[in-house]
Amino acid sequence: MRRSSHYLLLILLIGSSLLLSLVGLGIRLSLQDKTDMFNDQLLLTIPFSLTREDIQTKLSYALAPQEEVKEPPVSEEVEEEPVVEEVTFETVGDDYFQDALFIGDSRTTGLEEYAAIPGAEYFAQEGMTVFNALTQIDGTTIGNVDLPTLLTSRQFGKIYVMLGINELGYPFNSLMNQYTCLIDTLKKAQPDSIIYICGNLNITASKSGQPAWLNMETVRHFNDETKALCDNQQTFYIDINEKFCNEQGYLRDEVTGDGVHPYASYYVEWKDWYYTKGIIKD
Amino acid sequence: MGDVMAFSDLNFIFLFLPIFTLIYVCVKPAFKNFFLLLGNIVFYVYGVIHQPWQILLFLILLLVSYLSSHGIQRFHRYKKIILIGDILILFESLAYYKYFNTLPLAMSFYVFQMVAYVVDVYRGEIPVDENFGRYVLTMTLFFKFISGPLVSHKQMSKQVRHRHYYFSYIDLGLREFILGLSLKVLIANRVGRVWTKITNTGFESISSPVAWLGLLVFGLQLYFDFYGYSLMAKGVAKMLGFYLPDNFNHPYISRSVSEFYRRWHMTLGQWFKKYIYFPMGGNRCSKKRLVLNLAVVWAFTGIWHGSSFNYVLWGLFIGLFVILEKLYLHSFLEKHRIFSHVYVIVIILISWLFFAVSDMSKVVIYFQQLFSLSDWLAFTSLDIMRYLKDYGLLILAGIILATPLPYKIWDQYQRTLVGTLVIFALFWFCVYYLSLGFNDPFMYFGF
Repeated sequence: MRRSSHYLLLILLIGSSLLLSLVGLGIRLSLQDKTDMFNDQLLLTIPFSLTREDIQTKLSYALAPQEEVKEPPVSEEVEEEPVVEEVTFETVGDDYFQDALFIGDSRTTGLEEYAAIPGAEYFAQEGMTVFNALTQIDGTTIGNVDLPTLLTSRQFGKIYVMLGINELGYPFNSLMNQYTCLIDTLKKAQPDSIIYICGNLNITASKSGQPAWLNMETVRHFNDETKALCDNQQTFYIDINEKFCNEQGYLRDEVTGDGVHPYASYYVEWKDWYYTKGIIKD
Repeated sequence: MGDVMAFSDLNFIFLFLPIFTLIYVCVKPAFKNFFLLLGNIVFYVYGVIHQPWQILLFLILLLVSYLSSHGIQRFHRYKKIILIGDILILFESLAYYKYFNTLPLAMSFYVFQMVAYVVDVYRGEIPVDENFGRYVLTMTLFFKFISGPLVSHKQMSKQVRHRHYYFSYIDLGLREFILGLSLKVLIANRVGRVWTKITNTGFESISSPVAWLGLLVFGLQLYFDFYGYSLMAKGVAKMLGFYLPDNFNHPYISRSVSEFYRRWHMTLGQWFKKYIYFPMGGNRCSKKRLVLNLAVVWAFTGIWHGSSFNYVLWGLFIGLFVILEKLYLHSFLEKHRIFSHVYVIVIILISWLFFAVSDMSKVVIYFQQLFSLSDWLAFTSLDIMRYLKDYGLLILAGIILATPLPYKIWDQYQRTLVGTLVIFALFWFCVYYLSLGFNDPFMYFGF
């Protein structure tokens, strides 16, 4: 085969770099009033960044029209806060989980890989968020199906939801709105199901702050807000942090290798902990 | 360590390298070296800007080695004392920072370069570099400064004084650079995630097949990370008119552990041979002395790689097999080809365990998992199937690329139109992955 010129590769690289930089510049300039998320990166990497799902989601929220914050009507009557009944958990056996569904991100995939409960279903994938949970198609053991289809195709007795840690960098109000929307969807689709809102497992002290939005306080704050959504009638809050965290609230170092995901042996302990959180309805 | 500009850093690829090369090409030949020195300074200072004391340390050691070389030339009567003094200062500085402090950027490499230079002057192999500026330039060439290869001062100094420069070198250098970048980003970084996943699982929870897979992927990651870096260094050097020697020669096809380390990080092996092994007597001595020489060399090799005990263990483990081969196994391995290949792979994979894991209790656990033979009876129901499904093709690509054949094909076709388009596509694949945040720091930066 004939050899190409010594200039060809260089011309191709320079030309393509300039073209991508121009595209990146166009994108940055067109979005500069709405977001500064592309300000710190090289122009020619901006088109590549747009292929990331989390970037697309952040961008869509940045571009969405801002909703007006409506003030609640002032009522002269003093409303009493609804009384949330105390919940008593019971220790259960394998039977309890035969109609259970676990929804979550990489930590739930870890539970499925290393400590799957016999008979339970897992709708989980690395990187799943409240923003894509309803559109993502789980490609693991549950088959290629999205969550709305799964929820209409069969009845689950219990649904465990642990999401949120991947999204803590998003605007908090958007995150809570979307989370509430997800829980409402689950309640409507499965009115007889017990819905467990699972507090996100926290992170180690050394991992906290990498990135800045992922720290023990933001995880705790999010968990507290999701706990407040529970009515203890259909939705209940459980929190694995009671088992794996130290007094300061950080995930204990011996539990994890990367500061975020437990070792396989601790997933087994996590699984066993679920057996102590059964709710038997009268 | 500071924010060192790795060759696979996007800022290096799209800012430093093109701007530097463009100006370098345009600058008159008489000023190229001066501009190169400026580039070296910028490159180094950028990497240590948050810890400027490292610059002072480097300058002090540079001055010590420069003055020592002049002292050796001028004061013949005291040349041995000067040499010993210089070596002590350099090695003790390295030992102090390696074991009791933060290891400065590039120190493991530049101390070895300085020691080599002074010893070569002492032996009369090279003249003293009279020009301090040229000496600094030779010692700080940015394309080899941080992680090698270790090249003799004679060889680099000759090129600094006089080198040919053609525009075609930009093209040839770029191709080599992109090949190295691809091996690092598309193979090493991605296959490294398998090892990370295995580590995060916990060694007590992995099956025996996965334990072996873990050592294989660690070995592939380490190889392609460093081999990729070495090719990138060679490519950048070529673009500027310099020649760097190869650092790797397909070590995984070796038929003995000794051969493996004649093919792996070759310039470091040559340094140890020339400055430690041969001065101790090499193999021209009694068997007992030979064993001692090899044990010392390999202990030092382990120490050079890291401050924790597992590296010493790694060095001694390799040294043990090198000794056994020298004394007993060599002719057997020569006669039995298949056995020799299997033997090398098994021993090298086990050796990576000591290299990868610093916690001795975890090494013991991993060993137990490696030889948990009952796991192999239930192969298809194990975690290994998940790993093979997700990463099998990538690992297979890594194994194939560890052999010489793809490079023979590459050499033949890379300059054709199709080859050029393939390199072009590989480049943008790499940039795509780097843009998405899959940029892992070069593993050998820790040494």
